[in-house]
Amino acid sequence: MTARPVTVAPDATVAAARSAMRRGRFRHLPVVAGAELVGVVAHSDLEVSPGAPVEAAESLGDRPLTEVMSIDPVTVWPDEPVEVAARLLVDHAIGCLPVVADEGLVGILTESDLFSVLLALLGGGEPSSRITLVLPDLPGALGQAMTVIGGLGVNLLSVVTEPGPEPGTRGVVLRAGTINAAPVVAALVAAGFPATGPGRPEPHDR
Amino acid sequence: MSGACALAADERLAAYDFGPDHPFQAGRLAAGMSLLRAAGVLDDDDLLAFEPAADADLELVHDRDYLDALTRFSAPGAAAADPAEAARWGLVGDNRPFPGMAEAARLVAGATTAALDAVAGGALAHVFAPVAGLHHAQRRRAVGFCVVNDVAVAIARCTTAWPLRVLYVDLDAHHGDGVQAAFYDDPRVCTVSLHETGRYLFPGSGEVHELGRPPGVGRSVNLPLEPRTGDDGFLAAFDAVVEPLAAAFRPDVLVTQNGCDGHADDPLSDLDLSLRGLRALARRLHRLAHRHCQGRWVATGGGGYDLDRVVPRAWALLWAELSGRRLPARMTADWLESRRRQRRRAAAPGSREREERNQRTVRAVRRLVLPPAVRVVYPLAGRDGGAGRLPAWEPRAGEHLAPGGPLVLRDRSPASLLRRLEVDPGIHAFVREAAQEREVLARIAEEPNGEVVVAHTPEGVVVGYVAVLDPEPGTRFASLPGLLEVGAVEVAAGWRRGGVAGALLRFAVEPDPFEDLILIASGLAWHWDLEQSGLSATAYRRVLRRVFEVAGFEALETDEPEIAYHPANLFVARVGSRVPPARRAAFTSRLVRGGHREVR
Repeated sequence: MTARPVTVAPDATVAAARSAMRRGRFRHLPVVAGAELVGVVAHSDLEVSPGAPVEAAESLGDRPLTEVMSIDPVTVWPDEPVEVAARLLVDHAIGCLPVVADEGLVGILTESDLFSVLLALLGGGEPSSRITLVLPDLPGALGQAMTVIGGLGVNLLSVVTEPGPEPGTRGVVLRAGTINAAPVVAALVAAGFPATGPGRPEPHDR
Repeated sequence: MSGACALAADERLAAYDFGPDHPFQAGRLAAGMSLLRAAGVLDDDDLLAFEPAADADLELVHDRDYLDALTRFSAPGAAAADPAEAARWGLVGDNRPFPGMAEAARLVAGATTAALDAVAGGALAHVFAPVAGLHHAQRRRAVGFCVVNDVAVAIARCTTAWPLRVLYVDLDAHHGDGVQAAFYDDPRVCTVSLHETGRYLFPGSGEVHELGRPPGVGRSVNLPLEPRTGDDGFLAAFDAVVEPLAAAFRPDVLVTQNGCDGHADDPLSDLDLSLRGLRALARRLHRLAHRHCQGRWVATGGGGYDLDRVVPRAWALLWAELSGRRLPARMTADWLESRRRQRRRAAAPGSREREERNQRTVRAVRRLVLPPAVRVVYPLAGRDGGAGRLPAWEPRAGEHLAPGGPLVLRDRSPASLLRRLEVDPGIHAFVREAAQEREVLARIAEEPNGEVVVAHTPEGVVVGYVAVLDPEPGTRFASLPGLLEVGAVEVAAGWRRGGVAGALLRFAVEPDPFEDLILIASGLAWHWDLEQSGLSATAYRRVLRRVFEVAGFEALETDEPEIAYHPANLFVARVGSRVPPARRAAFTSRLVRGGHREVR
């Protein structure tokens, strides 16, 4: 999340909110009265529909935010797990969540923050090789595959599992911190785990 | 020293050795040197003398505390005593320290630095440094067998000491991430990396949209290619981007990383190149050095880990190309023959999809990094222009009185006329020589929908021009009927601020057929001549916008990705008065595509 975000007062104009967004290069703005969160405005709330006359955009600029903001927005606590926040964004089809603690608004979490989390989870951005696996969705399967890698002395920067392509399977995405990943892929295949990666770049090539 | 070429290597470099069970080992040097000697293409006086790189040079690219850590962990047993601290600097796994590592790495950097010094200073034309090109090393971290970034050190020294503009071409199967990072915001160094896509392969970076940071935007170029691309696909990508980029960037010196780990028999990647392909690439680089860099070329060996069929042979072919020596025909015939396996693979299922993906990548890179006029001079093979968009009219002539003197404006300039006119040396946004610039104009005029409007002095010296041409295929607006692109507006350095550009554009769009057409123009900030004009990107944008507005163009908002990439980029259009409303609407609807959902 972004701590201590830029905020606006409810009686600020649409034009003021637009320029705050342009200056700060963001698209969501909490509306705060005193310490209390009273609403949220998104970039799209400040736009007129495409094709509307120019005067419409200008006159909207003079309106107070209370007329365009979303009131009573969905919020989260600072210690909420990231998957809870993601779930809320998806279920409500919204783009941001104000983060509220006892003392009031403390931050804002947006879609962009979740992309950073995703990037960190998947180990992107660090030099590494990517290996994908499809495992039976059974206890011990992942452990056995990791044992094969552990024996090679390769550092794993990321291990993420997801529902597999077929029912009863799990997909696994690994980021291995080595330029020499072909032996890792070969060892996994030799041990009976269908792996895709350097040396075997064709998916599920058995 | 014999002739104008040298090899920057000797047996001291065997010290850069992670051990016999490691891909990067002393055996690479031994195998390579023994083949060169056995083939009779290397004498003792071909060897360039070099010393370990100086601290001052290394610190151009690496932090002091990292260099200290390298020295510390070069002592026997030091990494075992504190593995966590060693890992913090990347000195673990692939880059496990060996005794004498820091000194060996300095020696590698010394070889590359001496090579580039000799070439930049004119003592030698070409130098090959085989144990060099450690392109992954970062400012404070060892990565992918690379402890010190010797190429970045040599280039940094070259740009500060001389100063020269450097074109760096990286053919290693892996993305040249460390060199790219070292010069990500430096407009004097253009890095181009052709590599296997990071979808699976290390290091995972090297995407098309890694273009650099201001003021170096557009000077980091990446061509991520599919696994199993093969020689033909790799060479096609090279031809479509590297040569035109060299023409546009105007480098003083070429530095290459000729990693041969893309070879089909090499264990670390899946590009499936052959020695024939690697030799063809070496030839192209050699030609490029002479065409665009006055012959100045330093080649580094980079990666490559098969010590039998790949590394020594690839090095021998590269050295033969660079030095002009002839390898025994019997030897090379044997090496270049085994293409059967590659052909079989190239015909395997999925090859079509692979080819299409590579072509998409190439087209995107061309649009992003090549000015439109350069794309015309270096067209993609098999390009078909949508003929007949621009109807004929009688050539016209007009006048413009500039502060520098009277000018003649002329449209529908035929290629034959353009080849006869002189070009003011102040016109050089795209190529080094005025004569080449004249050829650029002639080639545009020869395009099916090409139109060149020139401003020349009464003596016949061209001081400005506007070029109209078909939009690059595959772009968002290209498939719209009746739409052309203003590909270039240029005025010679000594004739700017005299209203020449505005007068040219106004004159260019006067003919009646333009009332049936939509004209677009994209201004990508990194193509602008900011150095010469002394303007900031925002100021340049303002000037450019005004010039277009005077000629009836309108600046439009668009989320077209290349325009949206940089806030200073400009998109303008002029919709002719007789363009039917339906076509106008079709154009407008393409300006903004991304429907982004926000808070309710």
